[in-house]
Order: sequence, then C-alpha cells, then structure tokens
Amino acid sequence: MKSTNLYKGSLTTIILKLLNENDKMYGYEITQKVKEITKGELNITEGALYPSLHKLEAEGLLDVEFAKVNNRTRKYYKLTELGTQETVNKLAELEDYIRTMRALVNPKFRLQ
Amino acid sequence: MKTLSKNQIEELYVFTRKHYVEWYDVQTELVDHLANGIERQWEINSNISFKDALNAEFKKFGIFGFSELVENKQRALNKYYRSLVFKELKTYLRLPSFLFLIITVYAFKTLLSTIGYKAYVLAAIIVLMLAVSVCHMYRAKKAIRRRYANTGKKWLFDAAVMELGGFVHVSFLLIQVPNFDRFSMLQTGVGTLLVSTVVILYFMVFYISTRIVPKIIKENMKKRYQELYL
Repeated sequence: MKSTNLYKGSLTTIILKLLNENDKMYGYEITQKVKEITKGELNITEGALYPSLHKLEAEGLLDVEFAKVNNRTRKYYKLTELGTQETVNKLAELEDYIRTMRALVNPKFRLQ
Repeated sequence: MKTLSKNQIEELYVFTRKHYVEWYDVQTELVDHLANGIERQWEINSNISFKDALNAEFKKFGIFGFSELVENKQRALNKYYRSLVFKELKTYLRLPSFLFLIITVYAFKTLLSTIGYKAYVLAAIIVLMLAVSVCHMYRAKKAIRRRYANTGKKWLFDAAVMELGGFVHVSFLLIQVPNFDRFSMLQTGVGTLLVSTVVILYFMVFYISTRIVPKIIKENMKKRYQELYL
C-alpha cells in the first residue's frame, strides 16, 4: 500500500484484532504479522505502532508482561477484558466504514 | 539462527541512551525491537555487520528517531495519570465528602469576603501554590536521581509523577492570573464564590495528584512491570 495515511485511522483496530487472535504479541511481531498477512502490501511503521500500543496500554485496553529472550527482555502485549470488548466495537465500526467507503467509491448503477 | 550477544544488547541500551531515551522501560522495548530487526537482517544476510544492521533499523524510526515515540508515550502516561486524578476526585464529589467540600468553599468565601486586602490574600495563595508545585517537582526529581544512582534505571512513570500528569504546568499558568482582571472578581459575591471554589478544587486536585495518585500509579506499574524491576 503506497499511502500509509490510509490505514492510520484503523491501526488501533488492526492491533486489537491481531491480539484478539494471538493471545499475546510483541511490537516487532505485530509489524511482521501484518506484513505477512497483507503479503507486504501494508507496512506498519515503528513510529506509528508504538504510540498506538502505548496509548492502548494507558487506556487500560492492553496489559503487558515480560519474558527473557536471547539475552534481552521482551515486552508482550495482551488484551484486557475491556480491550476484548473494545475490539468488538472497533471491528463493527471498521466494517461500517468499509461498507460506506465501498458505497461511495463503487456506487451501484440503478435505473430509476 | 545468529542472535545478539549480551555485549551487543548492552550496546543497544547505550545507543538508545545516546538517542535521548533515558527511561529504562522505553529503552527495554526499543532494544528488543532493534535486536529483532538486526537478527532478521542476519537471517537474510549473515555478513552484515552489527553496526550497519543497527543503522538500517534505526532509520525505520524516521527523521525524528525515538523522540516522537518517547513524547507520545509520555503523553499517554500523563493522560492516564490525569484520568486517575479525576477518578479519585469524583469520589470526593459524592456524599458525605461533598458536604465537607461545600462547607470548606463557604468558609473560604466568608473569609475572603470579611477581610480587607483580598487581592493580597489571593496573591499569597497563588504564590503558595507555585511554591508547593516547585517544591514537589524538586523532590520528585531528586527521587528520580536517587533511584538512578542506586539502580542505574529511570522510569517514565516517575516523570509522570514529577509532572503530576501535566497538572504541574497549570500551577505555572497561575502567574498570569493577576494580569487577567486585577482581582476585580473579588468585588462581587458571585465572583468571590467562584474564586473560592476554584481555589479549593485546585488544592483538592493538587492533594490527590501528589498524595494519592503517585501511590496508585507506582503500585500499578510495579505490578505490571515487576519483571523489569527484578
């Protein structure tokens, strides 16, 4: 995807959705998972990912835990109960948005 | 798979410090991210040097490097701090403590209405508020330095406590108050009541943000980040 601005509004939803499916993930893993799922079409930048993760953590939607991996400490993110509820709301919002955009971009031709 | 050595991890910590990330919790996350990126590059080409791989990973953070990330995290933490303050404040705005608040506001208003030199009293209160804020910041900064000297680590939530989630800056805005209307508000009953309410609420917020919330936030963070504390 050439324009990164297009996905920025949905970044929170993408993160919540991935964590909903994967129990716990760390920052780098999220960037790689998105790249893998979208076959390299969507590239989440570090400068966008971490502020979103930290915001979600501060809002109580994400919890964190740490593990020692290869001489270093890894910070994992996982959904809280509130985060799980919010994921449902955010996904519904995003689906509505996609539907609206589709109607705008590709309106069905009707004969009156 | 080629992985980073202990020394290289230490070099990454130094690298983040050199790029103005002084908070250990933020450094740790960045170090792991950079390490993952470097190891990924080594998977593709194991001949890339550690330094070249590191520079390539750092470039991905954009022209501002880590600074934007740190600022945003600080902002998010300050917002969390303020939300805790308002949550605590709400408990005081319920009965029976609400009655105590009304009595205090009324007593303060009566005091302001009866004494002469109202403007001087209010100016003294503003100076007191500023002095308390400066004193709080000084003590919090000293605590951060002391902890750093003992453990070699600085924590971002300590910075949020120092700034009271941004509330401390409100105190410094109070310097502007005498310029607004030269205390003409104190000439009317409603104005005196309004000023009294603001002063009492300010002291309540200040008390909650300096005495209650730091304990809550430190406990929360210690629980969440206990593995890093060890």
